[in-house]
Amino acid sequence: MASKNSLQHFSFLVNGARYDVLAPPLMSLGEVLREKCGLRGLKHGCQQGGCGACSVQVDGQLIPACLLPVARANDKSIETIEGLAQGEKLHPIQEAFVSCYATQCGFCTAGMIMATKALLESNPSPSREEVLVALSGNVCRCTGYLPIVDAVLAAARNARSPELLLS
Amino acid sequence: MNNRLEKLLPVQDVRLDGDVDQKGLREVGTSTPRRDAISHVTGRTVYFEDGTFPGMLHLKMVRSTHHHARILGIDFSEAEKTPGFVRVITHRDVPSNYYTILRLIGIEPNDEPVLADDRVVYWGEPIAAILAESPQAAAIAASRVKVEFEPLDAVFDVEEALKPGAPIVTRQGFNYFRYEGHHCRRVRFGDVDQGFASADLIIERRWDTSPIEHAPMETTGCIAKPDGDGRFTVYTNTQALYFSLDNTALILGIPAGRLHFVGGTVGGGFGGKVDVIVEPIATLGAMLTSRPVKFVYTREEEMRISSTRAAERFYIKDGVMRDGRIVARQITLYVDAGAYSRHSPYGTTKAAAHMPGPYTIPNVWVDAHCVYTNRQPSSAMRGFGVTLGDFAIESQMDVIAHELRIDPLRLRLINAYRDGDMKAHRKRVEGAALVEVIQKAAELVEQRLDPDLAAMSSASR
Amino acid sequence: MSFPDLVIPETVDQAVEALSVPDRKALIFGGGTLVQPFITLGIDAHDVVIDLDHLALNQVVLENDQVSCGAMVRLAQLAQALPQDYIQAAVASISGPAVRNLATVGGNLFAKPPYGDLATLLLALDAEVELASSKETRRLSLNDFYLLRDNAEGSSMKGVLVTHIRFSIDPARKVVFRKMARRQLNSGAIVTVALSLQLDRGIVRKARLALGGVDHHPIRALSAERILTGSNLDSEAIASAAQAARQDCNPQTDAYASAWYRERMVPVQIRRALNSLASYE
Repeated sequence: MASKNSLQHFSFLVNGARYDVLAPPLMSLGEVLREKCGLRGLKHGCQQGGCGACSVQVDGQLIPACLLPVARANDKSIETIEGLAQGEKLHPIQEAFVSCYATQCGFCTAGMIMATKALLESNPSPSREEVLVALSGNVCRCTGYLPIVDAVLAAARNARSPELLLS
Repeated sequence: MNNRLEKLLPVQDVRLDGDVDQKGLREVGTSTPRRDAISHVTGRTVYFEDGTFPGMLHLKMVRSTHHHARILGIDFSEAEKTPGFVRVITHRDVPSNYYTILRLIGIEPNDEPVLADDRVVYWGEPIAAILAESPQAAAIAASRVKVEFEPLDAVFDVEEALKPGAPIVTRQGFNYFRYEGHHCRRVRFGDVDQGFASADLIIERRWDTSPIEHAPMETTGCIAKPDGDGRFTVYTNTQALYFSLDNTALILGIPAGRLHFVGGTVGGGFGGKVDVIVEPIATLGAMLTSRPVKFVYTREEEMRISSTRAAERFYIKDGVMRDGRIVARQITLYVDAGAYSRHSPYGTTKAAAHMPGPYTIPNVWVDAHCVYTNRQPSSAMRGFGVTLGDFAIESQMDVIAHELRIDPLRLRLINAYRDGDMKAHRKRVEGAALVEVIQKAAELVEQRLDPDLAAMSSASR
Repeated sequence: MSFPDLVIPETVDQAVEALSVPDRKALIFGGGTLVQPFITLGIDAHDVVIDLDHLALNQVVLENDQVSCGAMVRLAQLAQALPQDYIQAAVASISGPAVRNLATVGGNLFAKPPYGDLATLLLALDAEVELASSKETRRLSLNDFYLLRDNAEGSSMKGVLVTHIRFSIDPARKVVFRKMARRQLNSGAIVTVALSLQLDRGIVRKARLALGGVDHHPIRALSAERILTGSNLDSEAIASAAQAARQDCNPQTDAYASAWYRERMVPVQIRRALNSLASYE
């Protein structure tokens, strides 16, 4: 029943690829993805779940990677910002963020995009109000939020075009 | 003069009504995507913390839990027993412990220690640096350091700090920055006493602001790495790369050529990352251990200890005529520098020069004080030294307009400075546009201006 | 070395046994939203972490307007299961969507002010907690649970695990939840008000008024409840109850608000909550 905090083996999928890591079971998924898997897209703005910059999807659910111990990510399927673009071809959400000027310093961007992805997967035509609630866990200090909300609504419109739907 | 400069349009060919001469201009008026947008949205933008360095140590700072205190002793014995502990750095390890950022442009004295020695003057002041194998080990070890303090009285208000008998924050014996022997920056123009005597009405108000924390999404930090040849590469999110590099060299007593500072994308600065605060100690750690050292602020450190925009206080006394002309303006302003100078002496100078605002007033008197208190040292933020002055001045202008029952726009247009006017700090006005901006703004919000106001121009009174 | 040991019990008995080991500082890990930061940031180091995720305490069972909620039920899961306005409002007021996917109903009982908004609502709903220890399993009201913790200062609570929370969603009760905060979403409470009234032909038969953010845990405003009970909710009763609640509070100062401000906002928020109910009549 007891496991020492020393390194243990964990295995999970990230963006469809399998990762095997040795980590203390209580090291956060955020720290593991960044330091052991080399996936630096997610950011740590607070380490307390308050800023949303570390948001990833675990089995489809949006969660703050800083709050999940890696032990609870074992055998899960994780999606991060690195999984959206197909080579140089941007995901519609990414295209919308570029064209709507929804980035400045970029530190909140990965978390904002993952929150957007989680929203549009469950609600493809959100109202402005629903967008504000879905992104309420993501803090931005640069843009004032309005361009980001525009980008989410634009992404929702674009993603409804047949040729841009991802299977 | 190089070819590119020759191709730039002379200023007088650019007309204010936006109908710009199109010769050679391809960017103005077009929508251009940000160069970094694609790397941001794909998570590929590189920030200082994105490198992997084998053998990297983590630095956690032991900090003061008092606003003002003597340090009687420090016990590291429990900390040293923490698994993962590597070493501690104290002020004795710092080659040249005292500095001030602006020593590079001749500002004195070097009032701030990298690590406190016999006393602390603000809550959160760095006392000792713990280096350990993981961030958790460093934090646990740091929490086990026992510092014995003798608390002293503290002062948190700028005017209290200048009263006789106030606790003294600095080592010079007084709580203000000395400008060429004077206790404040002074601007004297005309004769305000005569101006007040001739005025129809005197209006006096006090304006206060609080410190503002920048709260960037990315906290302050750096990674210092020994290159193996006596040089160090420092990855940092500072906004002030050369301030940091040059001060680090002076603090460590090494030639600047041994330092390679790599900046780049800052995850939000807003003026809050212009202090020299993490690089010297991290680089010293790399020097002492021959291992890479990372020092990154936690969110709590960023919010509670990192520098803020200074709190400021303004006393503005105006002599005004019934027709709206301001004939005399007297301002006493205080900048709360917190416990150390950093950029505040410069910010206070800017504040003084910014008075009395974009208005031509024949009699102006300004005393601008840079005051030390036991608050967290303050620093720059968006419109350093001037933004809060504008808050005070424009609030005062609205009060005047209300007292005189004059349209607030009329009050400003009457008093706005024109090209060629002499400013209170003895510079001539050039390229003034306040009149035209007000006129354009009024047009955009469909507010009709009286004909005499609509006909005004910055080119003439 | 830098992290506590992780213990993953498979039954409640094993969990309680792990919690009862003497001279060992154990941290209970439910959703992790409150405790993972302490682990990551190396604050208040514990010897061992007890993981509650394998105890099958993650069910919401509804039977005749009685809800039995396992302590590990996630906030988002609760909002999916129960459509009542006041449940939706309380859950939505807590942090952001990602945190709500992890945070648990049981964990919220232990969230210190300015947090603990669901616990405030549960207090007004007369919720019961089920506690497991090596000696026994027992139930007590959430209010008594908080009083027990106040008096014990944690010592007699060692080795005790909250396993279930039970409350009624009887539609005959009028329930209002309102949270005053600095921002509309994702913000700690200045004052949280949860109000549950049973009315009989316009007269209040039973009143429960719980306040969050104004003491070390959610509290019942007993002085206000006494005034409301038997009243007809006229403006005099409302004003009087709202003012009386001030004496029940022991607000603290934090980054969101001063104790001074919180105390003055208590009657304002109570009045608004009561007025919103009165307007249904």
